[in-house]
Amino acid sequence: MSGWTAVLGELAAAGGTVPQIAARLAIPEPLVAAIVAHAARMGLVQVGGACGTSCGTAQTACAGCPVSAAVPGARPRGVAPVTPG
Amino acid sequence: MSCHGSGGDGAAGTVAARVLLVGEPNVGKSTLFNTLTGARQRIVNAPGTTVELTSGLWRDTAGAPGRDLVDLPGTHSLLARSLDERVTADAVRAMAEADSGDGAVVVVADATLLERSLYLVAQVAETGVPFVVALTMVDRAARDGGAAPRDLAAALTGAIGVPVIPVDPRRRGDEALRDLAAAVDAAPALHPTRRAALPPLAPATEGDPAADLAHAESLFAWVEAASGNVRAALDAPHAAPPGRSPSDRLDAVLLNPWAGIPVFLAVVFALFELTTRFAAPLQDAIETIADRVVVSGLTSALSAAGLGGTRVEGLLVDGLLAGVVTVLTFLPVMGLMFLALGALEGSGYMARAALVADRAMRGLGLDGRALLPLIVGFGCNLPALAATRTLPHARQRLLTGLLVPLTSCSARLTVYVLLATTFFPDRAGLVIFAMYVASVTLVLAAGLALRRTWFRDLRSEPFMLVLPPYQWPHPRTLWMSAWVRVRAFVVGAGTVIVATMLAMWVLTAIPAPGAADGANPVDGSLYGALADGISPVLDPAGFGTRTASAALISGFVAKEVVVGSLAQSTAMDGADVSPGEFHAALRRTFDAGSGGHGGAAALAFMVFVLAYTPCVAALAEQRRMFGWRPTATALVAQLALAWLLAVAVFQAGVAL
Repeated sequence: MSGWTAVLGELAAAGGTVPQIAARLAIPEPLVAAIVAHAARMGLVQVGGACGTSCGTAQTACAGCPVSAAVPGARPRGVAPVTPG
Repeated sequence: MSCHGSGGDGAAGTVAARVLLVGEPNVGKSTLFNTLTGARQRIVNAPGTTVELTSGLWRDTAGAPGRDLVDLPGTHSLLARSLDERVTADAVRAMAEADSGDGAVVVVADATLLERSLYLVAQVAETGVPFVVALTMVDRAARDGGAAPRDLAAALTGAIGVPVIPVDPRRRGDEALRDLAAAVDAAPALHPTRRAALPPLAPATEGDPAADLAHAESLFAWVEAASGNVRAALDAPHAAPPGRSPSDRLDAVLLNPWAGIPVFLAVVFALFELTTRFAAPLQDAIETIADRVVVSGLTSALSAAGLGGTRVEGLLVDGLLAGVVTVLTFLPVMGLMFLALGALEGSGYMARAALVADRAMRGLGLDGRALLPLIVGFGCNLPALAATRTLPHARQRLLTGLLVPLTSCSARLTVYVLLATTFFPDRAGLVIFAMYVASVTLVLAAGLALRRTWFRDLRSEPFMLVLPPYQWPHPRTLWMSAWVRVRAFVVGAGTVIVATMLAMWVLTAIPAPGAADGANPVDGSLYGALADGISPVLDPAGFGTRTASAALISGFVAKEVVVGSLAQSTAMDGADVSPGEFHAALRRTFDAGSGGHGGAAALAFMVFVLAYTPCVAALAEQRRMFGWRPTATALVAQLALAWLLAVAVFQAGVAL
C-alpha cells in the first residue's frame, strides 16, 4: 500500500496527529505532513484547530459569521504564514 | 513570469537569464537571495496583484552578465491556496511554458525535512521547468545524525536526477554558491526529458476528483521512492518511531468513543455550570447599575422635559431600554462562555471532540463531512448554512442545511439563561446543558429520519481530521477571540433589538380593527391582537400568553430579541423590571398561563425556541441555497416539531 493511501486510510479510520500517524504507519513524519498538507489543499482532509482557523470550510463559514468573522490572524493551523523566505 | 518593472537589466548591468527562487517558508530562501544579490535589489509587484516580490541582480564577478533573481513568496506546495502561493505557482508554470532557454528555477530545500522538500521538488519537476536544488540546513541535518552535506547532496542528485548543491545561505563568497551558479547556467540547456528523474505522473484533471486522487498517489509514490533511494544510498534507515508520549496516552482515552463522549459531555456540563455560577453576581451588578443610573437618569430627564408618562417615555424606557438592558446583562455569561470555549479550542481538545462526534455520527449512518457545518451552527446558524456549500453533493448540502437550524446557536443561549436562572436558579447550568443535549439529540434524530426516508440514496463518507497537538491556550489570543465575539454579539444583537423594539412599539400604537381599548397600552393594538391570536395555539404547551406569544413572534427576526421582547412586554404590562422584580414578574406570567406550572411551561418555551425557525436571515439563506419549496416545507415542519415537543414537555412536566 502506498504512503498516500495508508495515511488517508488511517485518518479515516482512526485520525490522530501527524506524529501519531507517522508512528502507527512507520512512515517518516515529513512525508505524512506533506501528504496531509496536499490532501488538505485538495479538500479531502481538515486540519484541526480553533474555530474559524482550522480549515477552508470553517474559514468560508466564518466569513459571514457576525460572531467570529473578525477573529484576527485567522489562518489554517499547520500552515505557516506565507511570506517571502 | 513577468513582473512590473522587470525585464530589463535587473537592478543594474546586463541580464543573461531569469532565475526564480522557490521554497517553503523559513528554509533560508530570502537569506540566500540577500547573499546572492547583495544591495542590488528592488521591489516589484506580481502581475495583476498586490503581492510584492523582491528582484535583484545575481552576478558572480563584476562586469559579467548577471541573472535577474526573483524571490517568490514561500510556499509549501504548487497547489496554491492563497494569493501569494498562486503567484509562485503561476510564475513557475509560466517559465515552464515559455521554455525560452534562458531561465531556471532554484528550489531551496530543507535537508532536515527530506520528504517535504521532495514533494515540492516533484511538483516543480512536473512542470518541466529547468531547475536545480539548493539544499539548506545541511549542518543541522548532519548534527541530527544524518549524512555529511556532500554525501546527502550526492544521494539526492542520484535520486532526483538534477544537481543538488548544499549551501549555507549566510556565507557570501562560498564555493558552493559558485557551484550553484554554474548549475543554474547549465540547467536550461538540458532537454526537458532529462531535467529530472521524474516519470510521467497520472494527469490531474480539473473537476475530476478521481484523476486528482490518481495524480496525488503517483506524485507521492515518486516522493517515497526518491526518499527510499536516498536513504538506501546513505545506508540510513528510517528512524524507529518514538514511544508513547503523554499526548498519545491522553488521546487513547479521549478518542475512544466509550470514554470520549462521556468526557465531552462532562466537560460541556462543567462549562455551563461554571459560567452560569460565576456570571450570576456580574449580571446582578449590571442590572443594578443599569437600573440606578441609566433607567433612573433617563426617566428623570424625560420628566424634566415634560415627557413623563407619555408614549415617548413608554418607547424609550419600557421599550428600548428594557430590551437592551436585559440583553446586556447576558454579556458576562457570553464573555465567560466564549473564553471557556476558546480555551478548549486552543488546547486542541475541541478537535478531539469533533473526531469522536464524527465516529458517533457515522455509526448512525450520517455523513461525517456534515459535521463541520453542524459544529459551526452552535455558534451561528447563518454561517453554518454557508459552510454546507463546501459539501460535494447537492443532496448532502440540502440534508445538512435542513439539520443546521436544529443546532442551538449562541443567540438562543440568552433565552435559556434567562428562563433557567428564573425558574431553576439552583440547577441553571444543568438545564442549559440539557438544552444542548436536546439540540444534539434533535439533530441526530432528524438526520436519521431523513436519511431513512427522503435521503436513502446518500452514501456516508468519512470526515478526515488531522488533530493539532495539545498546547496551552495563548492568553492574548484567547482574550482577543472572546473580545471580538462579545463585541460582535453586542453590535449585531443591539442593532436587531433596537429595530425590532421600534417595530413592536409601532405595532402597539396601531389600533387593531374592531378592538376595544383597555387599561393596558397593548390592549386594542395590532400588536396585542397578533399576540392574542396566537396564544390559544400555544395553550397546550403552557405558555399561551400574550407575553410569550409576542416574544416568539419577535424571535422570528432574531433569537436575541426574545429576551428583550419578554422584558418589554412585562414592562408594558405595568410590571417593575428592576433587578429581581423582572424575574418575579416573569414567573407570575408563566405561572398564570400554565395553571401554576410555570417551571414546566418555561422548559416547554425553551424547547420551542430551540426547535422553531432560527431567524429570518437563516430562512433567507435557506431559500437562496435550496429554493422556496424545501425552505417552506422545513419552516412548517420546524414549527410543527417545536409545537409537538413543547406540548410533550409541558404535559410531561405537569404529569410529573
